[in-house]
Amino acid sequence: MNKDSKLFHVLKAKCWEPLMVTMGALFMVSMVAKAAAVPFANEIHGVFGTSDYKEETAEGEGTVIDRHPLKNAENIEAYYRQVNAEVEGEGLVLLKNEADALPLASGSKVAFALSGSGKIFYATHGPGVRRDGEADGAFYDLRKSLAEETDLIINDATYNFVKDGAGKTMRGIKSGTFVMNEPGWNVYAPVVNEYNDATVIVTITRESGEGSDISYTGSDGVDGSYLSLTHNEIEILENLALLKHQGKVKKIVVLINSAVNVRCDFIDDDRYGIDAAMWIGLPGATGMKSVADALVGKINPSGRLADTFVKDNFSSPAAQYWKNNAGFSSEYGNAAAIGLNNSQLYYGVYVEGIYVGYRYYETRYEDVVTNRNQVGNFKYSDAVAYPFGYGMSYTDFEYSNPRLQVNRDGEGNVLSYDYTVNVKNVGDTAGKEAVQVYLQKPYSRHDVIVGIEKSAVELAGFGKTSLLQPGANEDVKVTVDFEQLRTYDAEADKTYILDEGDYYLSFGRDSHDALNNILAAKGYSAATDEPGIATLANLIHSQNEVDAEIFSTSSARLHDTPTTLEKDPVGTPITNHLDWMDPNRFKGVKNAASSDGDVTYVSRNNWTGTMPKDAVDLQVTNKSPIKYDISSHKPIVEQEGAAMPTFGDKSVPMTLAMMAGLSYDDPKWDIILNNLTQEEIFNTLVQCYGYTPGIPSIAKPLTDEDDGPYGVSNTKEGFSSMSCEAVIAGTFNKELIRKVGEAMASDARSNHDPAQKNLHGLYAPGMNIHRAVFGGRAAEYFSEDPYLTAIAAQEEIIAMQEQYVVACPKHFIFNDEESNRNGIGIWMNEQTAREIYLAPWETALRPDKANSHSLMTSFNRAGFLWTSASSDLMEDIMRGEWGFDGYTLTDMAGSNGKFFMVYDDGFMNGTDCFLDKGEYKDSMTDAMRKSPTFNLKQRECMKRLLYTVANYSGAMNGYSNATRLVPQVVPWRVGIDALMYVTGISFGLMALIFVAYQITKRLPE
Amino acid sequence: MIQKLKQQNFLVLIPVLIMSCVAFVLTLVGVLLYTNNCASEFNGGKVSVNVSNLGLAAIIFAGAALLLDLLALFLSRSKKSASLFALSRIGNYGAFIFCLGAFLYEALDEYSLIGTIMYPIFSGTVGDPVEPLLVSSYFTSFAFLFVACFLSLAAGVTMRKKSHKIDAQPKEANVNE
Repeated sequence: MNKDSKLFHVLKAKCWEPLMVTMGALFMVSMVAKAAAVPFANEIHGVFGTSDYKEETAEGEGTVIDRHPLKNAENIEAYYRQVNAEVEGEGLVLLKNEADALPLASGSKVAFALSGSGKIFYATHGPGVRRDGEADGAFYDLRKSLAEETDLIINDATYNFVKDGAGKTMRGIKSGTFVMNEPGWNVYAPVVNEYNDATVIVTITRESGEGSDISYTGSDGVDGSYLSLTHNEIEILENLALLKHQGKVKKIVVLINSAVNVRCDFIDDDRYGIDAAMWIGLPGATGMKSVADALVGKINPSGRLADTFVKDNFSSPAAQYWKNNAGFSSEYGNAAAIGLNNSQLYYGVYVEGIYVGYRYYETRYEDVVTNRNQVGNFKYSDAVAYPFGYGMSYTDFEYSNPRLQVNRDGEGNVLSYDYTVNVKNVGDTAGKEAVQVYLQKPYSRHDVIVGIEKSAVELAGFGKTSLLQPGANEDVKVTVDFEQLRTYDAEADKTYILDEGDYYLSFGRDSHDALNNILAAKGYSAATDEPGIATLANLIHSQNEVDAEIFSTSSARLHDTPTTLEKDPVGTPITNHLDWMDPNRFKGVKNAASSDGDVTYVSRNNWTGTMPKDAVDLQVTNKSPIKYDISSHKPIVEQEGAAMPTFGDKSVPMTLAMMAGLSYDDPKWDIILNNLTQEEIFNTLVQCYGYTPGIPSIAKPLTDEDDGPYGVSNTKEGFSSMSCEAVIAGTFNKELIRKVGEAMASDARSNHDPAQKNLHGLYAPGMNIHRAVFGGRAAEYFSEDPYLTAIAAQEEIIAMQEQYVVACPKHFIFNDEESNRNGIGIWMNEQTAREIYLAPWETALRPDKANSHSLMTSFNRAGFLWTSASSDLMEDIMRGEWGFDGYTLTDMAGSNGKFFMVYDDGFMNGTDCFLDKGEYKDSMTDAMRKSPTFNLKQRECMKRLLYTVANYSGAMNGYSNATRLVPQVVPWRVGIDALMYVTGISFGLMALIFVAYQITKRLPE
Repeated sequence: MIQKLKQQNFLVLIPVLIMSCVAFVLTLVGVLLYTNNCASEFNGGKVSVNVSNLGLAAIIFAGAALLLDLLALFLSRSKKSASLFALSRIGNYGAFIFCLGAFLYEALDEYSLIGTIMYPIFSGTVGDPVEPLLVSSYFTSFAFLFVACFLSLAAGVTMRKKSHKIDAQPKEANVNE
């Protein structure tokens, strides 16, 4: 080539080389963007408001499905804020009110102490609800609430001091431990005089959140835990008490701003001079308004504690286990020797058995009263500050005329008990009363011999009066199902039994009051710490001998239709399914700390001998059969006669709308499932990352979902933060709890946020148990009590689903603590599993109860098995015994559980959908692809998902048989593709030019 | 004249050599840290094939660039050979592009790990524990690849400037004599 030619000069131009590099870099970026668009397509669609297909419905064809939001969609923000305030107002608990210190008189002066007063902890860390919105006015802080709701004279100097001054909060996390870092009294010098003639509001705040438990040691609380007062907090309380003693401070009012019990040994301690105390939980965006209202009497507190508030947070057997084992999770003793991976290392044993929360304190108390052997040195009043169900009011109520009605079927079998009492407001302030009914089941000789445990009392029902004016009265009827009398016998009969002995129902202001009433009825009045009222307790049933038949079969129907409920005519036998998660029955582990290799469970037959004293040292013995061993990716066992299902048969094209209203067993399901390809099924089930994907070929819409134990997550407006679940449960008001579900569902289906409009599912409510007070995620769960948890969840679920928002309660199951939750193995006996932890889920999932259409499984294991990969839990109990026919969804499998939250194990054992971003070509192994059994399982998973969407999801709103999902051009996808092709080709071209130039210039002239 | 050229050549080549060398080492260490230490529960025990492959390509290109730079330093005695060795920048460009790809894929394919590590920062809580070795290896690798990316590019661009200077020199100049 002539080096003077035009072409050579073109090749020689300086621009080609940088262009080549730029194009190369852009090509690489576009390749990665293209790859990212696969797992993050829905998120990108959310940003741009696009979709891969559009809905098209030919006019005049078929019935259009109408699933509009039913309620309150017009002004959701105002409604939501109102429900938040209402719930807080009925859920906050007045713990102490000496000499009617509250309500505060009009025009009283209020001042503030402790940093919590300036920085309320509104909502827990973890769910995506907004946790702070003071700056833009979305959240009501204490001062704003008092200013707007009351005529109290607010001392701004002290408020500013604790909010932004030297007294402000420095709480946070230090080396993985929650610490308060509360400033000491020494910094209060500038504001001491401001407390003169004031009522001082002292707010004790404790944070908690997802992913870690509350620090039980290493914190700055006086007992080393985060849940006791720090030395500086004590010092401030003492000095305020001194000021009060000197006549300067008028009153001291404590607010406890924590989802769980702050060690409550200080409230009645004279050194602190506390006049009144109120537990406010986590109040959400607008809850503080109600706190202000309660302080001045515009609201009369009627909330009741959903947990026992104790004087020593280590006094329960579950907390003792923590102490003994240096935390909730321990490493298997021989973990290193046998080479366990990260997800297999840890375990936790529920040694307390059924004695969780008040079940421990009340039962041991009864055994003291009745002088049972081996009860040991136990004094109720030393242990418990405020019993479960406790709460004061500004008025007094009198219970009278208790009446019991036994409801029977046509054959005379008992169905339920209606227990009614007349409640009269005998005070001078209008108020509501939470009426609680507790059940005592007999602790029989049979139980002692066999090894069954019984709680002295358990909550069996509750109701709430309307707002009773002074002098007014109202009958409150509480219905208790006969089924609640059952006990699980994992040892002898291996099913639910009706135990021998006497059964009592009692009204009670709290668990302790009810027990005292029962003890009075049993003739133990002289030994009780408070006089019981025998007439409020009633012997409802006496059983001469154990009946192991009556509750041994589940009557839940197999599958419902959207309009009818069909009881299973035969019933599913109920028997042991969880022997493999009891270390004493399962040979895969042993307790190396005991001579016989067994774990000692707490038993009321021998309190002193069975209360946790030593650490449990579980070791893996590797003798477990393959089904229950700790490995993942267990071999797929082919079912006899299993044949590969049909895929992609479009000979009878169908759309999902055609299936709406059909029963689960309708043969048309086979036809629509035949329409789907293997890839469509697999990809749908493994890409449920906050949604269930749309399937254009059968016109299944994408259903959008989000997190939301107590509020819809990730909304921009920030009003969706509700009070924490313990406050919601603490209302003891079913109608109000239903309003919470209604508000959340309305919010979910409203279009208030372009990025999150019209959700069709919520990962709510949270349903795990407040097993030990240090559980990090307690704010997302209701209570220590399974019945209260069950009913609160039931009301929320029903309300949500009425508005076609599919409830997805979480986390099934045994996810009661956070430490090493990714794969930790939870061990317990089957009675405990069924009566405490599974019981609320039975209510939530049974079609004849809450009928939740979905659920989320947990990160942890039961024994060695990931909970979602246990056919005993997911199929035999959940679907077999309870008749659940919704779909199950894992927790974030795509996040941090890829060692054990695996597709083959999950799909083979009852998991339907994975909260993940899997992909057919990468994730479906040959073994899965070619296995008839695996594909039949996935087909059933798909059927459950489609059945739920077709019949219950708001995503089908406006669909008809003729609705089609037509693929459409998505600008950002086109952009990525264009960028990739243009830069790729340009890069190639530039490279050629570069090479051509380099060669040409070296050629001889 | 020749002496001046030699000085200029030396002044250009040494920084390029340093940049190429550092980029090579960072890429090598970054890829090794990732492939050896970052198999975890967040990726099912398997590191990303994309990162490994692109990382390997980046190492090869960076290594080639380094080799040519060394040769240029010691062997380029004529304009012709200097011009030829200046093509080491191709290696730098390749290293830059593949390193960039490895870096981006390391973010994309490990979003679970990143999410878990970052969660406590944004949520204000302690979060799930992640092994310190995994965290440090991942972020070190991430940072190394990022820095190596730009060092490779810088070396390539510098070399390109040198190449233009060589082209502008008289034919007979022996730059390294």
